[in-house]
Amino acid sequence: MAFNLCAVQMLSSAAPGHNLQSLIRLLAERSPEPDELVLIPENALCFSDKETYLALAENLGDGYYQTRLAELAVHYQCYLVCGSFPIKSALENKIYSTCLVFSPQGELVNYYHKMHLFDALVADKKGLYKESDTFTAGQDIKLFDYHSAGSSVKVGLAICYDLRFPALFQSLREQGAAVILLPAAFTQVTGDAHWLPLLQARAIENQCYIVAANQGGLHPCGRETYGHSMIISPWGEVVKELQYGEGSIKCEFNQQLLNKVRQKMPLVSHNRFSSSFRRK
Amino acid sequence: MKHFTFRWLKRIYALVAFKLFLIALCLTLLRIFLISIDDYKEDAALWLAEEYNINLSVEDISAGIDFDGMVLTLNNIELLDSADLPFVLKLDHLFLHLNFWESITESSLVFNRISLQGAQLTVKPGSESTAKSEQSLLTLDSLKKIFLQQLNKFSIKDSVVKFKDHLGNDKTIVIETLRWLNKGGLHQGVGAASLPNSLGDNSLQFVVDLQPDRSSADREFSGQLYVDADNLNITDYLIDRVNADARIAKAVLGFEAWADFSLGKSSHFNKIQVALQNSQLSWSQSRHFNDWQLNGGLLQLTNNGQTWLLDSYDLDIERNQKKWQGLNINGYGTRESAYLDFSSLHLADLLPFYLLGSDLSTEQITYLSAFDMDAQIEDLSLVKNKDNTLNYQTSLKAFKNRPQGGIPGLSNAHLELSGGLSQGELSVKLPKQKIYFDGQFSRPMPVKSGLLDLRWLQSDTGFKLYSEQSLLKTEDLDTTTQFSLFFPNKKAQNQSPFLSLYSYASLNDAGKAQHYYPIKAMGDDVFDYLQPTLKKGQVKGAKILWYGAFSNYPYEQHNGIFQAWVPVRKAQYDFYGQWQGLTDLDLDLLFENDWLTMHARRAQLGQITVQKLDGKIDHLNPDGILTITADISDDAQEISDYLKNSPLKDSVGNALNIIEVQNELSGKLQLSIPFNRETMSEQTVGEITLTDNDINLHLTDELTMPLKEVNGKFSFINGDLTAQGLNAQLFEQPVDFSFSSKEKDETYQVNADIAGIWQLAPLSGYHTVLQPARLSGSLDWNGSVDFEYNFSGGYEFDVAFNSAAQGMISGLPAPFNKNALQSWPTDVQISGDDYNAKIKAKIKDKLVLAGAMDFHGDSPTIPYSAVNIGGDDLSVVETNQHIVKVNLDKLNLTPWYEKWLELNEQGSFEADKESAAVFSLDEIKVDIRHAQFFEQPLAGLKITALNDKDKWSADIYSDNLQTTAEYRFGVPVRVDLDIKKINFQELDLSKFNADKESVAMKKQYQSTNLMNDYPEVFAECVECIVGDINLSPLSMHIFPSKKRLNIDYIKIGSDNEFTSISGIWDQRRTNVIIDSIADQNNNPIKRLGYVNPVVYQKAELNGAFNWIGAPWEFNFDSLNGAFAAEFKDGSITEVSDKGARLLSIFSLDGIRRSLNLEFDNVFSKGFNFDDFTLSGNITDGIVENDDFNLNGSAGRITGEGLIDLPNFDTNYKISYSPAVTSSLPVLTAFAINPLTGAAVLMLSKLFEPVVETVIRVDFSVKGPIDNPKVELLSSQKAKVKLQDSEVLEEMNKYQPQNGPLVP
Repeated sequence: MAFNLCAVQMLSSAAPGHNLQSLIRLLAERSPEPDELVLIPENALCFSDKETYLALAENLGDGYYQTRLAELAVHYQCYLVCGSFPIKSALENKIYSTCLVFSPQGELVNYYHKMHLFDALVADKKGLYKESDTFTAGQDIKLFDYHSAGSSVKVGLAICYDLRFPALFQSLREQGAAVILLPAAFTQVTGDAHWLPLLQARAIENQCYIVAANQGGLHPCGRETYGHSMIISPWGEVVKELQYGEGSIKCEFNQQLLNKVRQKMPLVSHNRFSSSFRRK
Repeated sequence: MKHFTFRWLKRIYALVAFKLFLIALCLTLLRIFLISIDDYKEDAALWLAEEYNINLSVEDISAGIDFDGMVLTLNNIELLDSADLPFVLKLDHLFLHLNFWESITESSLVFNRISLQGAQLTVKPGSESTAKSEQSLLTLDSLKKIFLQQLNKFSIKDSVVKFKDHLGNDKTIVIETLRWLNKGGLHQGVGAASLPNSLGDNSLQFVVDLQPDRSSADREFSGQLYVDADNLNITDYLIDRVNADARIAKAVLGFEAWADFSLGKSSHFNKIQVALQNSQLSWSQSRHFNDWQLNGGLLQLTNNGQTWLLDSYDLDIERNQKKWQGLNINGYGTRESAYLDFSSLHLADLLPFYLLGSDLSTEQITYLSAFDMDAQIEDLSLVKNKDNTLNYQTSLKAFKNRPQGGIPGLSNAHLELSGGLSQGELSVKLPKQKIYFDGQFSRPMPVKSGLLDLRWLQSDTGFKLYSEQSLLKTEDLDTTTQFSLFFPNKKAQNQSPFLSLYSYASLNDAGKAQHYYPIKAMGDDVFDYLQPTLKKGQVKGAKILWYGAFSNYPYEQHNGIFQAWVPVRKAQYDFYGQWQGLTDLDLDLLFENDWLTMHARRAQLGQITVQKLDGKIDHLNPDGILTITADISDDAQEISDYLKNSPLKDSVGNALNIIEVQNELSGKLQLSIPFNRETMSEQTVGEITLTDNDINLHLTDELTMPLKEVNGKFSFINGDLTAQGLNAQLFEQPVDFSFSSKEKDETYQVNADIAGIWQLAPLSGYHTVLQPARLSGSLDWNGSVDFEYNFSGGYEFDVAFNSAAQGMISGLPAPFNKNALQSWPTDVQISGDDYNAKIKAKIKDKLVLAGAMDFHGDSPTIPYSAVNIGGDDLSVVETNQHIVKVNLDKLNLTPWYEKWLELNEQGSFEADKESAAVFSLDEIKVDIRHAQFFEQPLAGLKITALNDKDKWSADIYSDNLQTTAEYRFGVPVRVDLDIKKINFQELDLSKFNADKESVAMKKQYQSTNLMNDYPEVFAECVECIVGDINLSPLSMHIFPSKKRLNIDYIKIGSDNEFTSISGIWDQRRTNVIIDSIADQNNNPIKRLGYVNPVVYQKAELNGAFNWIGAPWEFNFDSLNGAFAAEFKDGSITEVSDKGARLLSIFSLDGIRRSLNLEFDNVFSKGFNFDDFTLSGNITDGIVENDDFNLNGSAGRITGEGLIDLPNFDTNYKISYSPAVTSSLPVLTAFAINPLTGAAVLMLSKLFEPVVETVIRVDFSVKGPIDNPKVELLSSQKAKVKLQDSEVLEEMNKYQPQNGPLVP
């Protein structure tokens, strides 16, 4: 059994039930193999606004939608990584945007609270994006062990806007990541401008597989996301890509390729800087 | 019958002999005289036929002459007649003695006499009943005429009479000689006869006299017969007539008999007298030898043709060489009936003769003989039926017999016997007696009375005995019986005796039922089992039905029926062994063929109410098994107690000691008890239904698992319990469990599987110890329990629980916080015995635990334990130490501290003190790469703490905390801290302080000995930084005495700069003395992290303070004391740090700012002073100061007022007197009129320098201490002379060479 990497591209709405059914349909179409690592995009189950997110938010590891996601993982015996889901924080009106990792046994093996919140002006219909109004930033870098056929690789977690902060990826690499997941809801404007070069840069400079699952297309709310979910090799090659609309892509993790890239160009040993994390 | 036939034969013989004699005589004469007489044989036969009216066939004729003359001899003669002639007569020779001369004279053959030799008269069987033809009647009449009339005399010798007896055997009477004489009307025959005899001589002489009966028109005769028999051996005669089983040893008759008789249509004896003499009959049969001797006696029969009389006289009889006394026979009767009266006649005397003549088989004779029957026969009536059969009737008194088989042994019974040879009736009356049985019952049956009306019937195939009603009463039993019992004879020897029986019985004491169990039918084992079971009760209307051949019993092929339905009421039924029996039992027993069923609608089993009971014995044979099934429903404790007191006490009983069931129980209990308990084991099968029962599982003496509302079933086979699919509530949570147990030779094993999906929030409510963990969600767990109880004592157990813990939510701080979708595979294993137990537990990579418990003492102890927090496996466990290891990548201690506070508030620690006393830790090792404590990171925190019995020694090292610590046990506890470094700059104690206050407030109690409550603390700290507070270096000694807590010293700082605190706390009030010397670099304000608005070269602070409460309970409300402070060479500077508010109590900075604002920014760079002193008294938190005095070059500030610390309020008056002559800027600031440099210069040069200026400014400082309102109250003006002032000197510095003075 090999390590199979899969990215699901969705076109989520504000209705979690509807999105869940879409996900179920997409997974049924993909029919992941046992132990396959399936990444679904940021805001996969709810692509909406603050009020909706707050209403949907669940306690970490306890809630209807998390349970349903866990059941899906068990059903397909796969690793199912939900790009982000609103998770309650200690703050009253702030929640986390959390990437949830479910094992084939349905266990929430790890989670990652999005560290970089997208507070930016974008030249699109929405204009001002201010995630910090809704979300509170995570404080921890997270990886998990992806097991298959008696061996494992380390997988790092990042979400969307994190892509623009190479130190996070560098830190993930320092902690052993061979694969970095990037669920996203990159806008059409920013995606068209930066999506591919950023992904390739993170893959190339950290010599990791990058699995990027993006929202893709015109959403019911009128916002437009870029799509182009893709899997990039440690050499920076786009191995698989899906442009617009719902669907999924898949490729096999190649440990030999990874080793070869890292051996030929040992960036880690050459690096004279180290990443550091600054708590806020 | 025999006599009758014999009589007729003799008559025929006489007639035939006579006529043949004449014929022979004639033929002999012819043969003598006629050489060729044979040529005339046809003529001779013709002549005989014509002359005597008989037809003869003659083979040849010869003639000769003897001494009497001519003899005509006819040889080989046969009487020819019709086929229905009742006999066949053949003669070897017929001699006709011819009276020659008379024959010539009369010209016809005249014979003197006739003699016969070699006559053979063969009587045809059944000839008497056959109708005679006319020809045969003529022939018979002719023969009678020949021998009684035509011949004067004739003789017969060497002749035989042959006939068949009633059994069809050929019998022969030898007529040795017979001489017959007819003279006139008289006829006489004298002869000798014998029976064929191979054993000895026979002697039977007879004389017959016949006379014509003149009164009769039918030419009938009367006559007399005399017979003299001597040593007449009748063995051969009898041998075919007796039973094949009998062996005749001797049968000899001796008697003389005289008889008068009549011959004719009604031939009969008129009188017979028999003088008996020397007769003997000896035989053996069925191993019994019988010897009868008849030595003498007389029998006389008188018959008048209608009636007859019989008498006996002087009978001399020996039976088996023993005289038979008193036998006398009298009788009377007719042709059709007879009545005999006996004296001294017993059944035992007649039975041998019956058996001798019977056709019973050897087995039947043996069987019959075994009864050894006897009775006194009083009379006998015989009636001849139309079919010539006989009926009889007799009474038997004092009947007795030996019990045999199913036939009981009676005594003193009165029998009325009637019937014929083929059927009869027997009435048996039983007086009070004991009936003995041939081992059929356990004791002789004590009969009160009995009446048996029996009938019997002899058929071709056997003997049938039956009864329409037989009544039998004993002290306990009352029965009515109908039955039919058939014994087959030889013709049906392949058949078995057949019994049809119906009996109705009542038993007033079922406890004596054992006496009525048919032991042989049941078998000893069955009886042995059943015998002690029924203890009491009553049986009313037991019904017994039997239909079938004995040989087919127990009718396994359904070829017969045996049923005994026995309703026992209010009975007590005891089981074997230690099983408590059934009481208050209404039991229906049904014996059917070879099995037994029992049914009861209610009973008490011990103290248990039995709703329904069924019992069954499949086979009433030695291998049979009694199976009792009882539906029970009662309080669980009753059932439990019953089983605990049963033979299952070591197995199920022990299990029930562990499994304490409560509430009402229902179930089935099945006991299987074999009759042969030596080779087969008892078996107990039970099924208990649990319906909302509560079960307490006593895992140990002190650990009980309270299962509530248990539903399901468990069953057991002997001590082996099995339960599947039970569900219950444990701690108000559902659990499913199953268990089984196995009883072995030396041990008793219990295995249980238990699983549950528990909602943890309510569980935490149930168990307060779980509350701090704030568990919620669900816990899906399962476990197994293996328990082995050793019969010789002790037990062993293995308990294993595991859970993925997915679904469980933990509110504990990290790393033990958990969400529902995380999986924490958890395994807990506990194994041990009654002396110790070992426990291993592992929670994912979070925690590993190993330990042991020792149960030897009064209370359990824990000899060793090892806890690893952080996932390291316990590969090696020290079995004599208690070690805790923490190995974590990161740990935030703050939430754990909060949790500790939470537990403290809940009093959990109080509860844990007892358990904590069970053992003490020996070592704690902590390795946390990234620790955090109140926001203070501790990188690479390593702690090694050792307990060497006297003290704990700890070495703590991290980047910001490096110390050694000792904790010495004793009273008081002593703590030694040697701190190299505490650098907790990021420490946020805001929450800690708040909590501390809350904790401290709890300590409001008076201790009798503070040494028990507070440690003695020695502390040395080289680098001691907490937040903004820098107490480096710090040394401290605090110690408790019985009533006080003493602050020996707390010294912060070095020799030149320090703050020293000492004091006491007497549990009511804290008194401290503070001495502080500060320099320009360090001072208490700065050490406490505040920016001091007052800088100085040196300062001293002395004070004594006291307040109500502990040192850590400082409060303003009760603060009293006095203080004095002095500052040298300093200045009041502008500070923006709010921390400087500490000094706002005097609002120095406020005043400075006010002056600065009012007076031209004169103090923008501070307010210098040379000396600043103040002192005050504090009373209940109100500081009273009246000597505020600050002297500086720019002026003097004095003040007085009150500071209300409890209310955080101040009311102060400050006066500032500027030293306007001290400096030009001051003068400039306070001058009323603006001064220019030139003007001033001019003033200084031209005039006595006088300047109008402000000389005093008064402020009020009121309001909150941290933000008082500083208000300028007034200012005084005055003209001040500048002469010799410092101002002038300063102005000189600005001489023209320096250019114009411009402010």
